[in-house]
Formats: sequence, structure tokens, C-alpha cells
Amino acid sequence: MIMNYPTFFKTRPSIQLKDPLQKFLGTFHDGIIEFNYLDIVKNAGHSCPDVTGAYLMTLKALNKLYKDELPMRGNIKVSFNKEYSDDITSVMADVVSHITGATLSLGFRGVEGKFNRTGLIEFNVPFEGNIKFERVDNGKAVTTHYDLSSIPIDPKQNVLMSKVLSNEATVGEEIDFEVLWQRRVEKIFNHASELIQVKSI
Amino acid sequence: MNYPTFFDNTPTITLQDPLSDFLGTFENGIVQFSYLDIVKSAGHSCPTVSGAYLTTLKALEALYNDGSTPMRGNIFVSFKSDALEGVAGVIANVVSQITGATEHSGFKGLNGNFARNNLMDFNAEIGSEVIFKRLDTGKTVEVTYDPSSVGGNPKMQELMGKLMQNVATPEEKKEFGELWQNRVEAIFKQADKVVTVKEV
Repeated sequence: MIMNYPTFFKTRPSIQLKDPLQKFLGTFHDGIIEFNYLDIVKNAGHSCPDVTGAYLMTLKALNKLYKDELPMRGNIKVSFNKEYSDDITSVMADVVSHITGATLSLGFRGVEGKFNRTGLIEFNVPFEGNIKFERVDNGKAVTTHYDLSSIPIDPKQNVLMSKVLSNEATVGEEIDFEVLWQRRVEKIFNHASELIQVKSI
Repeated sequence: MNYPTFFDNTPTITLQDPLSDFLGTFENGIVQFSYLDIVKSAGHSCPTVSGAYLTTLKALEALYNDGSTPMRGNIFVSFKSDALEGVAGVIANVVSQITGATEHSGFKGLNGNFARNNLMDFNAEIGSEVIFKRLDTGKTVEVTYDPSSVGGNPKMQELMGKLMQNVATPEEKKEFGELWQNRVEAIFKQADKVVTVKEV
């Protein structure tokens, strides 16, 4: 069985980071690690505007926080302004965690005080925006703001979605729905710079 | 991104994800994970991460030995230990990444389908460290992972001490990384001995 997916999953900008724990344990030489959108989609089990938004917000926040340097896993603290139990928040938190290594409680607890990955995600933190990223080493922080309103949903998409969910869709309609859904996700990638604002705070 | 070659030579895990099928993400929902995928997310390769990978691989082989493809969202995982204890969280993250099962996070579902939360629990009263259950058939397996028969090079302890005190030379750092990954590779080679799966 072969894994097939829309080509744009692999052609979008990837995110490179450094992971000191990797280097310490001889995992990746030089500790450099790279994630692409496909990696994230596999873990999330689907590609959708929330997963894409979380991926793009992480990419843009890290660019702003680290400029020409490689971002450092374990050195990035992430905050959300909603509860962990909020659906979109937890889907986004999983994406950010996958990339930055930051976890609430389920992660590596460190070796002799180093490389701890827990306690790096917080929920219910009041701030304006979707996700806040903070560098632990220098305290520099940014908030990301994701606004999808300029990428409307094709009205056909919602009609088809309810048909698929109620098992009334033909095979052709199922495929139409899938194509429309992923086309919107691809559009979000194409318009990333308009849809996502990153503000230093 | 450079890494030891065995990361690419270990068996992959293929599953089906109905949510990804529904949303046109993967054709027929077929998704494949390699040890490299897991290592990237975990931030390191170690006996715990490889053990969690092999535990999941062997559990899914046993649960789906009827020829069907393991189904993300159809697998419930219970751990004996507390989520905050030792390496339980590291193991849970690996299992979660592959099976999609989460305790609280993850997708909460659409019209009652595709939910990924409430598929994992901790502090369970079970006979092994972890059990995997198929929700459609109820078939359940206990999995035990014991890598103690795969000894590490005795030099590792000494080198690790030096590294932690920041007195290791660049050569010693490199040697430690290589010895460490050699042991992980040896664990993969001995997978049938270090992982035991029992139907319950």
C-alpha cells in the first residue's frame, strides 16, 4: 500500500530547527532537523485550515523570533488563550508541539536539568491573537494572528460535506468534496503572507 | 538533515486514517510512519523511543493479523503508569503519533465520527506496562518491552558523565552519540526478543 497525497504537501516551505538533545544523543548530526507539511499532516491525520494555520503560524513566528539563526527546540514557549479542551486549540497545539518539541506534560523530562520539553505549552493565557511564541533564552515574544475570512469556502463544499457525512454522497461527490477541501488549504498556503500577521510584543 | 542510516532501514508502520480519507488528505486514508518520523517529533532516538515504536508495531501486527489495515481512531491504548512518571509521556507521544489516539488533545470529531481524544488512559490496572485494544472487535494485547538483554558498550556511561559535565572532547561527544545509536540499532535487530505481545 502506497501513501498518496496532494503534491502541495511536499512542495511548501519546510521548517528547519536545531535540537540540542538530538545532537547530544547522536541522532541527527549537527542536531539539525527538518519538518514539512506532510510530516504534520500524517500526525494530525488530516489536512485542514486549522492544521495549515498552525503550521504557517509556527513557520512565521520562528522566522521572526530567530531571523537568520536556526530556531532551537526546547527554547520556545508556546501559549494559547483558550482551554486545552477547545477543539481547534488542541489540534493546533499538537501541530506546534510536533514542530517545536514544546509539550504541556507529555514529553521528555530532561537529563540532569537539561533538555526538558515539558511545561513549555500553556493554555488560558490572555493575549490578543491565536498563538504566542516566546524564546526562553532572551524573552523575545511574538503573537500570531490568523484570519481566513478572505479565503471563502466554496458553497458547494458545505453541501457536499453534509452529503458525505450522512452517507448520501456518490463516489464522484466524495471526490469533488475532497478536491474542494484541499484546494482551499492550498489557497491558504498561497496567501499565507496576507492571512497571517506576526506581531512582536 | 543527516542521521544514522538504520533510521531509514527499520520497518515502517502503515495504517488507515478515515479522517484523512474523508478530507482528501491521503488516498484511501493510507498513511505510513517510519522510525525517522517518530525520532524527528520526539527530538531524539533512544531505547525508550525505539521501544515505543516497536511496541506499537508489534501490537498492531497482533491486533490486525486478520489481514486488515490498522485503523487510526479505532485503537485504545492504556498505560499502567502515571502520565507524569518518568518516560511515560515520551512513550505516550510516540504511540499517539502513530495511532492517532490521545487522552485529551487531538481532533474531537465531526458528527460523532473521527474523534481522537478519549482513546488513551493512564494509571490503568493492567498486567503489563501497556495494552492496545481494537475498538471494533474488542481484541486486546498486552505488550512488554525489555531491552536489558541488549547491552550497551560500557564506555557509554563514562562518556555520558563527561558530556554532562561539559568536559568531553569533540571526539568523545561524537563517540558517545555513535555508541548510543549503535545500541538503539541493536534493539531494532533484536525486536523479536525485546518485545513480547500477549493476547488477553
